[in-house]
Amino acid sequence: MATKPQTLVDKDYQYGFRDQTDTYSFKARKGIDHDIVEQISQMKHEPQWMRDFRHRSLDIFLSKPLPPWADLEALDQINFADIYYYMRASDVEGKTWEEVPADIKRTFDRLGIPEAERKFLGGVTAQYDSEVVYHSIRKDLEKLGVLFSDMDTALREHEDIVREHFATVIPPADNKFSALNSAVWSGGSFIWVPKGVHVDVPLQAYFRINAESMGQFERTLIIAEPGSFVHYIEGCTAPTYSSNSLHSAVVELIAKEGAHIRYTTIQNWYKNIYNLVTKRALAQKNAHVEWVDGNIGSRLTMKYPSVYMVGEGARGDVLSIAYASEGQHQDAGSKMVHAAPNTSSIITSKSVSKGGGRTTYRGLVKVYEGCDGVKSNVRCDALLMDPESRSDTYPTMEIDSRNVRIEHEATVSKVGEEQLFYVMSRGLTEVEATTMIVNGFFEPFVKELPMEYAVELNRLIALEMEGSVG
Amino acid sequence: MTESTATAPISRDLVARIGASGPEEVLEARLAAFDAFESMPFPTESSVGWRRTDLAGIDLKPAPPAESVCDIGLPESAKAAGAIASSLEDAIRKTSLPVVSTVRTGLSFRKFSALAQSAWQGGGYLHVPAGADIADPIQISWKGGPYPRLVVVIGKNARATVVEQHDQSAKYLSGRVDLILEDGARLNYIHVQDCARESVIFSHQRAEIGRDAKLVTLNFGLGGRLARTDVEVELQGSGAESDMLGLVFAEGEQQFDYHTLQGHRAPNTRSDLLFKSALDDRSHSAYTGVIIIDRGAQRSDAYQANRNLLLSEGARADTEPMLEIEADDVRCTHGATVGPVDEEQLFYAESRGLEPDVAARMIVEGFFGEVFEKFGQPSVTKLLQGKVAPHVARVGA
Repeated sequence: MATKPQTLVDKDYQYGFRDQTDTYSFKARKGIDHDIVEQISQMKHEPQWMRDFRHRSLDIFLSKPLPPWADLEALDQINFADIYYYMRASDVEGKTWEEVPADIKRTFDRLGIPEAERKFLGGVTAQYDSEVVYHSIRKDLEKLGVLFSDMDTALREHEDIVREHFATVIPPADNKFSALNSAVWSGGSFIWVPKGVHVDVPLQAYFRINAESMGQFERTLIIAEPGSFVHYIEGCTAPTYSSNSLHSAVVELIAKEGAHIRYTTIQNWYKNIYNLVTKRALAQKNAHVEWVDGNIGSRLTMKYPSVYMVGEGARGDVLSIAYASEGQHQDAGSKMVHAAPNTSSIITSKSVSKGGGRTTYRGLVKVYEGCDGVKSNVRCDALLMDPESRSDTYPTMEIDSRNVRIEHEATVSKVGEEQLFYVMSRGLTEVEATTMIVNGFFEPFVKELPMEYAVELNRLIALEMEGSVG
Repeated sequence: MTESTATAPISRDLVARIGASGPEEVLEARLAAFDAFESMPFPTESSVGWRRTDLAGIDLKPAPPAESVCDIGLPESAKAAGAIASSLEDAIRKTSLPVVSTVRTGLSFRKFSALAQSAWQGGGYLHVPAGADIADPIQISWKGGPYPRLVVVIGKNARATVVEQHDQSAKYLSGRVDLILEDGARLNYIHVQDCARESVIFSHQRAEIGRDAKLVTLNFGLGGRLARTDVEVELQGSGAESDMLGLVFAEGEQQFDYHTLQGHRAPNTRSDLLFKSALDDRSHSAYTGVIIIDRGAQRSDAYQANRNLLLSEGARADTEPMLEIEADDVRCTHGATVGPVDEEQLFYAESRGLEPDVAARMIVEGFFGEVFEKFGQPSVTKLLQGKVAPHVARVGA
């Protein structure tokens, strides 16, 4: 304790949220192999089936190539051998706020989570590095019978529910990164909402990465029993780094008959993070799944939230925005798989590229044979802020049923000169006018967010727009 | 030409022998094309771009090379204006014409049409001299040979209309067309594909469009068991324009596979694409289209629409309209739709006393009408309407 240099403790690090957390109680070595996987599973005292699952997944990860259609120029920069695959910030898991170690609290203060927000929002699981360190379940959630914990706890306390649903939506073999996550996953959220229960307040978790070259592989599973409703919010911020870091999560949602799940993400990883995430939902009869997905940060994001509509009358919505500035590539999109009649989906995607940034919409609408009455509408709009930036649109529609209505439309343009002229004639500067137009462009997304997130996002865009013109 | 002849009907040696009589540069181009064919894998159902194509029962084996005879019907007005029509071989021999450079530079390959660039014999060549304005359509029709290769050069500020038709009896065709539009030229090009229903047809059309030139293409697809068509337009000069139209009527087990490219390589270029497919029985359409706007191709304006009308329960449509945009001062929009005959339209027509099958046919005619209207050349519309009419007559019956 006395060996800790005093200067580090007091020095205000002005560029972000990196603080002096050198006190990791466990630090796995870099690289990935069966030994590491065995060690992780042992540390967590996991049942044999999960241990086997991890080893099996690792074999898949090692044998699967990178997806050939991806931005390989960026992906090839990842040195898988130079990453920590498991770390924990503390051996103590805080049940109450008081029990949470002080240095970690400091990080949350830096994140600026207001007290009022903590009270307002239901349970808070805050993932610090690879482990959930603070997790409180509000009393009323408990009364409703809602299970809300980190994934590791869920595996210990509700093994039967976890085992029944785990990896049923996204098998390890789905893609290279889901295989990686399956092998080394740690933390993430587990939510189980009983039949008919409406959770009125959004549940949320904060994810952070906070060690150089450290991977974060959280695993989230949300199960909404028939007729229930839950809204989950995931927001990310990350401290500064000097070397590349990898975030590869797997998120599985299961909406049973008539259930409704909304999953909101605001992704603002630091611009050296590879954010390679697999998110997929299963929507049973008359279920409704909404993905509200905002991608602002990261070096490269590859994320295509999907809804597999397997029951009649199921519905899937994706509303996503992407913002790419210098050195960033937002490769985002959505997959809507209609495997039952009278299912419907809407994808709305909006992207802004600036300062040489690149945005890609990549999507799939698939209608299986015998699925009459399917409706799908895909709408992609892209704004290009300067001649250095780039925008791509790769939608795919595979339609094997006749009585369907499938529509796709996309536009790419720059901020209209007339629009700009009009706003500026009202006395705004070019920066203000552009910010206003971009905010307006993202409006359909922002208005779906809880108020405090909306405010934050507008502020963020204003910050990003500074210096973008002139 | 029977299935049982030579397992490898085409080889590098054979290509070398075919090209031996021509100039060295052309032989090199032939061999480069053959090497490209060899280097690209034979498609399987998991190959990129083929995944949705049902290759079962389709013989992709190339046909042995033979001479393709190109009949170019020059109207009197074209002859008077100094237009030149000949076989491609003859045109290459007459070194005064810019043929060899075209044969050499248009080296953009696709698996099967690369064979047309390597093993063509005979071939066709049309040159419309600068300033000529030819109102009457120039009819081009092919006989024999599986590898028709056509080069059309429209000189500065010249205007012409070309209608190309294939040998209806062909079982296997792999064709290549190069369209060169010099500055200010204007060409209307119609590709009519109504080959036998059991045939396998590959067609690769590539156009280079100069400054302020305009190309209007209409691809009409009716025949073939499997018809794969690549239409590539390179807008290379400022002010270049291209309208690309496509019209398919598919029935039985037919499969149409269209790949289009709208390449905006220069500023102030404009392209507009409308591909429409009506799909009956168990037919299948796969459309893949890409708009590329290069860095620096500012003030480009591009539009792309793919519309699919599903007329029966077993019909399938896949569509993949793509955008790759690297310039900011652009307007670029695409859209795609898949659906059955609109019930409201049907209801309206029926409420006017039309029988359901008559109403459905009217709606299909109207669906195609938009393409004809855009093309706006009544003689061509009449020709194509005549060809599609017997098929439309089956709708709803």
